[in-house]
Amino acid sequence: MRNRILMSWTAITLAVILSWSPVSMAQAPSRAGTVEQTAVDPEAAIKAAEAAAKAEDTASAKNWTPPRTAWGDPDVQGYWLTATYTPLQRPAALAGKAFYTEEEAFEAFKKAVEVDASVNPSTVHYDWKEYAMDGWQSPVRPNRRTSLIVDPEDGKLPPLTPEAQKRQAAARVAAQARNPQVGVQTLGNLYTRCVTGNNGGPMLRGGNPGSDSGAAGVTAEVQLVQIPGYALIVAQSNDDARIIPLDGRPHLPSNVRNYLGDSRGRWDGNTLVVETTNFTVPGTNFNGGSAATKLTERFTRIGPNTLRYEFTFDDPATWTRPWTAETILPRVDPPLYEFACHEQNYGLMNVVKGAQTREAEAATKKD
Amino acid sequence: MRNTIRLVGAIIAAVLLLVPLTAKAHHAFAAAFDENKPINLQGTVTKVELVNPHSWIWMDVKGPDGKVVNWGIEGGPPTNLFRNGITKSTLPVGSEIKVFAYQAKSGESKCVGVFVEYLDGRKVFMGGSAPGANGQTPAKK
Repeated sequence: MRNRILMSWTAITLAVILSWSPVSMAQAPSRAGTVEQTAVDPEAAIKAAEAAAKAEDTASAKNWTPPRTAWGDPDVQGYWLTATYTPLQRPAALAGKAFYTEEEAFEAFKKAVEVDASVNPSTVHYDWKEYAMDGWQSPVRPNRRTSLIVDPEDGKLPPLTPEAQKRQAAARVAAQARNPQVGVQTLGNLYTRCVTGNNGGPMLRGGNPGSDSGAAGVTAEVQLVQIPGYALIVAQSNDDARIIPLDGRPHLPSNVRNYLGDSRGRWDGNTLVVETTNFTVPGTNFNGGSAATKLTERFTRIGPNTLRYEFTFDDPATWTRPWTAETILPRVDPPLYEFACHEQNYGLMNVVKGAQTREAEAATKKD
Repeated sequence: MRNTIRLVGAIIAAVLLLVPLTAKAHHAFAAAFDENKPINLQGTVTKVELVNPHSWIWMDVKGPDGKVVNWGIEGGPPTNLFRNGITKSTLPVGSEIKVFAYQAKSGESKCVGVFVEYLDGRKVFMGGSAPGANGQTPAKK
């Protein structure tokens, strides 16, 4: 048994190393010395995204057959971008409308990018105000869906259970007590402390990158790797990695808990289905979910450069019914970069010093 | 001896974990940087750190008094810079660049970059329409 585990880990380690080897790096396009218009001009980025969406629609429509691995499994491997401008929940103005027309989808995308590129700097996450931190500077694409949530049909999260309402209210009070100025965005969360990332499971949270701290806008690249009997999901954000056995073995005992849970996978036609349980809290900290969450994700190739990603939250301790979200992930160029979050965490020092400066100013005013 | 080192290491780790983190948001612009302190810098690149989640460019800037100060400019993740065409080879140490940025609240010589410009006028990073992101706002320091 121990040998089997050891061999599995060796195989997985090799797969990860190979996936990060110079072979992968060699695929990286050489753009040295040029300035990409799509990275500096929102209008150019909008046009490029529309063109990419149209090209992919055309390519996917021509009797496209999903590829298979050398050992015969459906092949969902690649580097995929989880950034999206589609909100998790359907806006009230779009009640009853689950899909845009293509034209409407492009228009909504254009508006979202323009807002992202022009929002008030004093009120938002600092990403877009920094160079190379906007969602539109990645190959994010328009989406025909008006919300990521597809079930319930109204595109909204189901009501919270009374227990969850109490739990979330207490969490808000605790966060405010830690720092009334920044509310819930405190160092108490695992992401800001470089423990887990934003794409471990589920791989995206929706919204408008740049203005919603829960949205995946940057470092939103995820790599899927397959070897016989296993799938691996490696997220760039904080190097979150999930190793997923596909051999039907049971979940770990319920007393073994992980930040990213315990994942088991299987094939349903061309779809990789991954069920994850055994979460710890606040590792699952998705809209206040509990450790009882069962997360079911479905990965399906639907075009040469598109992966459909669906996830279902079944968490009876938090929501009165399960809910499901769905989106498309565009393929992106490698590589992923290491997340040397702690090693390079000047940000933490700057935030602490900034807070000390602000506190000193406040003390002076009181005097 | 080895056990002592381990013990000391464990104590240090425990202390670090137990230190009450009274600091504020790691990822809120306003926590670390000041939108009321825009700044224009021109100088020579001394170090480029292409590291997630935030890259840093370090540059020597000569002030009006002739004194050279090393400034750190925070920016986006390397994957996004890569898509911009920015690698260590396109922004080598010794490059002369101009930067428009917002200074750290602490008053240190650190800032968050809105754009970086080569001296030939190519702007390589843009931050949308932040005040001065078009490069027109004269920054006062």
